[in-house]
Amino acid sequence: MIRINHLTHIYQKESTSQEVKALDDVSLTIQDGEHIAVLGHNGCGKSTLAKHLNALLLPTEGTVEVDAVDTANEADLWTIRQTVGMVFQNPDNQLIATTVEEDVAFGPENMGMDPVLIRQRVDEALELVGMAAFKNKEPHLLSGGQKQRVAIAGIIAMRPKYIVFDEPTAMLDPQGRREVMETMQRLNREEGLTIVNITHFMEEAVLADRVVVMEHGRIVALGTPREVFSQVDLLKRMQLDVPPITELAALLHKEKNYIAADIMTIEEMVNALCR
Amino acid sequence: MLGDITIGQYYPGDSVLHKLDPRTKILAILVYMVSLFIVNNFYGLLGMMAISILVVAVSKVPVKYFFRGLKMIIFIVLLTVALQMFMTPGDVVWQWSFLKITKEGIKQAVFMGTRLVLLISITSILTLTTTPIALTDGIERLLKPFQRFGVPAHELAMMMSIALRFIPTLVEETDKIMKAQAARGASFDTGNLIEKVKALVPLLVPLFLSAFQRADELAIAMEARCYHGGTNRTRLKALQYTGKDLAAGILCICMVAAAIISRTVS
Amino acid sequence: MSLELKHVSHIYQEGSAKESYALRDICLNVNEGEFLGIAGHTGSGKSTLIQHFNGLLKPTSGEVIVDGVNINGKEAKKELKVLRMQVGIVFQYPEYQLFEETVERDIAFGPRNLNLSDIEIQHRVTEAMDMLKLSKKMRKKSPFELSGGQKRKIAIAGVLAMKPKYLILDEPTAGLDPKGREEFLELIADLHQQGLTVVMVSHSMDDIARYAQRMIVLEHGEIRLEGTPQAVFAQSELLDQIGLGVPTLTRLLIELQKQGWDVRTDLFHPTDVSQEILRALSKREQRKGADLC
Repeated sequence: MIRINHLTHIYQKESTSQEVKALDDVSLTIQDGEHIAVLGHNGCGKSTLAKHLNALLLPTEGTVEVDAVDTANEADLWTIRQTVGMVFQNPDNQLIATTVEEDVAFGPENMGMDPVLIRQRVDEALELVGMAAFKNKEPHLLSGGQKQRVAIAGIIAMRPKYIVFDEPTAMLDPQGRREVMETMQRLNREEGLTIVNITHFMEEAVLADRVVVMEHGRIVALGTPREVFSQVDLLKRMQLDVPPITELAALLHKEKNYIAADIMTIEEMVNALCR
Repeated sequence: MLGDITIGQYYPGDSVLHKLDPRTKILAILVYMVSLFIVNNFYGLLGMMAISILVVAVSKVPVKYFFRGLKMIIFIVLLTVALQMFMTPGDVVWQWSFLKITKEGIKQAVFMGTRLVLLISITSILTLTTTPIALTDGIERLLKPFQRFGVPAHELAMMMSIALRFIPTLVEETDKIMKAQAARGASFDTGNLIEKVKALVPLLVPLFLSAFQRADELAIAMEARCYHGGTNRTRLKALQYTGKDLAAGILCICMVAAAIISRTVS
Repeated sequence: MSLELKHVSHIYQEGSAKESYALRDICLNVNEGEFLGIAGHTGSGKSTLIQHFNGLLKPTSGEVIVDGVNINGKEAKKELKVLRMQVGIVFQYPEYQLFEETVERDIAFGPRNLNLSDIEIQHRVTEAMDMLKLSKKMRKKSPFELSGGQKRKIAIAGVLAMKPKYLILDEPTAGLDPKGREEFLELIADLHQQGLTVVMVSHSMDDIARYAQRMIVLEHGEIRLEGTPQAVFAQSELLDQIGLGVPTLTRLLIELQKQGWDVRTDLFHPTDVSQEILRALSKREQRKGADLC
């Protein structure tokens, strides 16, 4: 369980040394095995929040506890980073080695694992993300989606309990986006990993158990996707995308109130209309 | 817009040379270099050339591929030869105004030219038969004993391997920026030298900025994956000497011995 | 006047073992004043195609004709620069091409390369900034202090300052958040309103659906579909095969049609679709009522 208690983060702008409150009194508990999506615009604080989960950033006020260990505890830094893995936005800028398998081995190598065990972990991780056939390839020859899957494998090889995805699909094409989302869901459902997905794609948020919406460093909405997305007006005001089906449902609901306003999929809509 | 760069690119294969430990190969090259400068007559040089040809043959790298890599350095060789030819004092055999060629000059030119070509061929065989990772690993391990004298062995190797990882990415990026600026009317191949250098600014500034950003993001990603320098770090593929390495070592010792003996023959 | 591709093929590494067709026999007309969408997967040839529009790439065979002149022909040689400037290309993530100390100098880079007078250059910078509704205060700022979205606008202004007739945009909304995406799409629609011919490459069918008057779908370097977005989306099975899909609400309408509903399947906008569904609903209710009687 990750427990975020009244987290505030203030940093100084480099150019003006002006103080900016990136996170403002954020509290949130992430349960084991959960899939959480965090939505919001650039600059809403969602990436800052993500970086607090594995002690890349430390709170100005408040605490973040990973399995009851305070992230501010320097002695536990490497345990925390191993427990909470992180996948970043730019697939190019997180692959370190010149071949796929060497890259996946990077984390375990840093942990000082035995070479025999590293080999085992690397092979398992690549198998899990479906990249085993590419293990001797050079990263720059892969597609964006494939690179991102290698990055995920690099995290899995460290056997984390939580994986934080910081806009992992923002730079990918639809094909790559699908690959990453499928992998993410499989890890959550089959391997029981806890997923925090920071994104601005609604199609992705719909897949989560819970959705957190952030604005100006605060949480403005929290609930199941159905609860959050039926608040069409809030989302519109924030200029966030509303899933088209939900937008349609809201329009139809005004005219025919037997059509629920929180419909999220095509099947549900067809069923609602054809009853 | 950029052609593919082939200097010392790894050529996959399964020859004896491919299977040697990278440390052995690096040390063998050092020994070869030393031998090359020990020999001081044509017989010795001929011998070194024979060894070099043998090594290329054993590597099973296609001759065409091998020479394509060498094309790049012809200019350097010619320059060296010319400098030696014209600058060495001695018996003048040909003169035109201030230019003169001496007997000693010709001898020196042939010697230096051959040495240079041999040196580059043998090093290119090293990079052709060794993967970049194995090479950096080898360098790291060889430098390790010097770590106590302040040689940053791990850091150097890490820097090299990151550079190798990002060269293709940056080449691709250069290509993209060139195209974008060309679409704004920039031309990179016209004008005199100064204009050409000036034309590089719109290319280099974005390239550097993006490289810095990449470095920044990469550092964070490495930290997130528990990177904390070389201490207590293990490797997926640990280097191991085998019988082949022993044999190669013995051959190297024989080579130096032969080189020293060749000096006495004249 | 138009931008015309006549039987354009492009082969990479011709003659070698790795030879591959990036484009195969493309015939395409971009008419002056229209908004054309190009859809396709990564690797479908989209990027290769647009680089032919201004001569950055030369076709292996076929001709590229800008306003009646073959840009790779002999008569175009002298004027290639001018011809190229007719076609402005904004590449993916264009903010990475900025390099000057100030915004105005960066936007002026293109016009400077055309050897225009200082007055004309200044004029063009102002004009380009106005077209994108960039505030005058920004002129003297360093582009590197600006936000990602603003940088991208400056980069587009840099292309507009060349006064192109045709504006080609490769994935102009890539990497932006929803707010930014919306803003850019509106901006591009606005540029089209101001008289520019716009070609937008995108893998978002929803974006193309909303703005393009005509679209083509590329696959493996060939044009697979061509027509109005409505006509193209009507081929939903073929689009599924290519793996591009149709906008969500169009898919809903197709589903309803399969269930025996009498609905149009060429709509994609929520308001249009809701009206269409309500219309169909009331019709069904009437019929039900009639049946009961």
